Amino acid sequence: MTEFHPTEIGPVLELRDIHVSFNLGRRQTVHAVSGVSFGIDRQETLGLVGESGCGKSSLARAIVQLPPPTSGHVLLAGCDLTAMDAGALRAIRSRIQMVFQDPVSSLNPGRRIGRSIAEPLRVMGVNDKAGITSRVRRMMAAVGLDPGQHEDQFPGRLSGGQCQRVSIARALMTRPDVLICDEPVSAMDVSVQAQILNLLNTIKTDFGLAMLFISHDLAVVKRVSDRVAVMYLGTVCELAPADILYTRPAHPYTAALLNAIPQPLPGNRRSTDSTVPYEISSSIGLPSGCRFHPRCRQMKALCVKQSPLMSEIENGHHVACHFPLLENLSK
Amino acid sequence: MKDTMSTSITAAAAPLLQVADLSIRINTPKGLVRPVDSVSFSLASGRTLGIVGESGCGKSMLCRALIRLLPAGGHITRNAKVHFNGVDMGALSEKSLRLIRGRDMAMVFQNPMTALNPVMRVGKQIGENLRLHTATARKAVRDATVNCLHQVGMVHPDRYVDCYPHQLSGGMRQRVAIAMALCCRPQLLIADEPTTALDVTVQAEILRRFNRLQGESGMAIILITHNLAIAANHTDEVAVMYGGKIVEHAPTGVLFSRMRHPYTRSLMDAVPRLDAVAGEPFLTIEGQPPDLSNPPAGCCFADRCRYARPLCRRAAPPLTCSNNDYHRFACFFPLEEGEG
Repeated sequence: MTEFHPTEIGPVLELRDIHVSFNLGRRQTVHAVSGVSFGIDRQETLGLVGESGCGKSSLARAIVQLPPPTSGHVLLAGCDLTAMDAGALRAIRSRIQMVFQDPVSSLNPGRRIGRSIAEPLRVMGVNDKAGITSRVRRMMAAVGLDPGQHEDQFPGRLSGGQCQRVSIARALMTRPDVLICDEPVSAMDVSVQAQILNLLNTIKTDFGLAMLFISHDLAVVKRVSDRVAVMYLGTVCELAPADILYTRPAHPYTAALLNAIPQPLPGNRRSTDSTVPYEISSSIGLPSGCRFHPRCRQMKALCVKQSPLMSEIENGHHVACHFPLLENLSK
Repeated sequence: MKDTMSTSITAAAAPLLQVADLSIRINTPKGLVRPVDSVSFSLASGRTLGIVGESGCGKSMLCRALIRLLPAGGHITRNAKVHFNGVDMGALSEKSLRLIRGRDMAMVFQNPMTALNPVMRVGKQIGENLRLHTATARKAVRDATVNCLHQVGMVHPDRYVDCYPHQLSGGMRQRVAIAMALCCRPQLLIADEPTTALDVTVQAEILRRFNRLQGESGMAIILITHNLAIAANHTDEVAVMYGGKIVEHAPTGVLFSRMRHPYTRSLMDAVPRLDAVAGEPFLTIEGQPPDLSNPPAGCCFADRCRYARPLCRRAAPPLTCSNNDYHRFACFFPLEEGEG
């Protein structure tokens, strides 16, 4: 299929068994993503959490086909992006947009804000100048920027939080179905972080977006996500609705991640080591069996031999672990 | 807050670091900027002070002033007093300062990539510090370096001493930077957002290690962060900075149980919490921090403060000590006890 025929049934974005590997030469291969499948509905945010090097960003890039995944299928409203030719893909790009971690370096420093926000429309071939200008102004207002003040400024005059607002406005100009946010608030102060997260929540509803929100901090993901997927060394190890994942984590890795988040409660110090110290050097030499076993406190003989499959332990709660923390479930 | 519930700021008789009335002026093309304005505090050996605030509040500049590494055009005002180990830092020559830096007073920066020399093997960078400040023999340097890396939690340090910084992950690089700072057993470690660029798991590991090393060597730590939650778990006392001033300063337990300054409260509300209700909006601090080249006449937080009254815009509130627990705050209308 090379044409885009959207269907209204099923999730807006669906990933089927995505694999991404990079050839390093000298017969070495990095398996950045190995077999990830999930779907995101309209008006839904899926949080994707994991440490750096676990393949979150490679997965995000595979979704937008930059570069395409090594194998597997990315379906946007039922149409397979991986089977499209370059021309069809170019036409469909406007429906998936991305917001990056570093807002300052993702804007052209020599281009005025208004022009940067208008760029996606120009790329799409929209020629109506007056129409573009009015849409830019409306979009700036929608993300909390003052068009009169900021439209003709250069990015250097803006703070990090304001630059991220510009990036979000730019991503929304093409009225996308899917917005992928790759660590959008990781480089920010907590106070600015909160503002941007509120903004993302608002636009999800206002624009009816399906959103993939990537972060390494489970506490940040909690407020914006409907469901959360936890990734470890290229595979999803737990996927559950947000409220369930935070109250009843079933995978030891999720529990460890939750334990690592500093909480502003003195005296309630939860600094007990919940994982075994281990270097996650890279995805080149992957451990046998369950990929988490070298760091897992509950590791047993089976974990070294056999890699666990994803199974549903309660409604909507999927986990890939031979010995999930079921005591959390009975509570 | 660290292991014990402590209520007093001064533990030892003579504190290791005493800072009085420290102000910094920087000449810029836009005019005179004052990133730090009459800051006073003291810190005893074996204790950790957290300095918390948003970017641009002057916390990094304060630390650069302590170690006397201000950017070009910046200077410390004459009446400022910085006594480290009983020595007046302002009276020292550049040569004596160089002996103190790296040996008695060390610093860890936020971005480990720019803090390390990209074209020098990491082992050599640590060894350089050892050779300069300690009597380590040339032949023993490598072993000492490996030992340093082992202490900061590297699993196979001998495998990494001959790596270049770009061959290491962010967490590994930060460990190298920390090993470099700690190799000469400093009395004071200044850590400027040491974990902001790192994953939460690595962050937790590194901060725990700081505490452990402090327990072993009795060094004092100044931990700079924008996240109050980090300060809650890893400090003995916390100073909250805003617009170049300390606006609230108290032992960690006291600060978190009875915060009095509205800014501290707002910072606290912005911390992403695990016990929050999913989907509920964050409380944010609207507006921008003040322009330090043109500071407001009154309280510098007045423009963003929910509780600001006319007096707040006319006069700047002094940093006063409440009569209990060494709790200092600068606010005319502090939050009631219990409200925080």
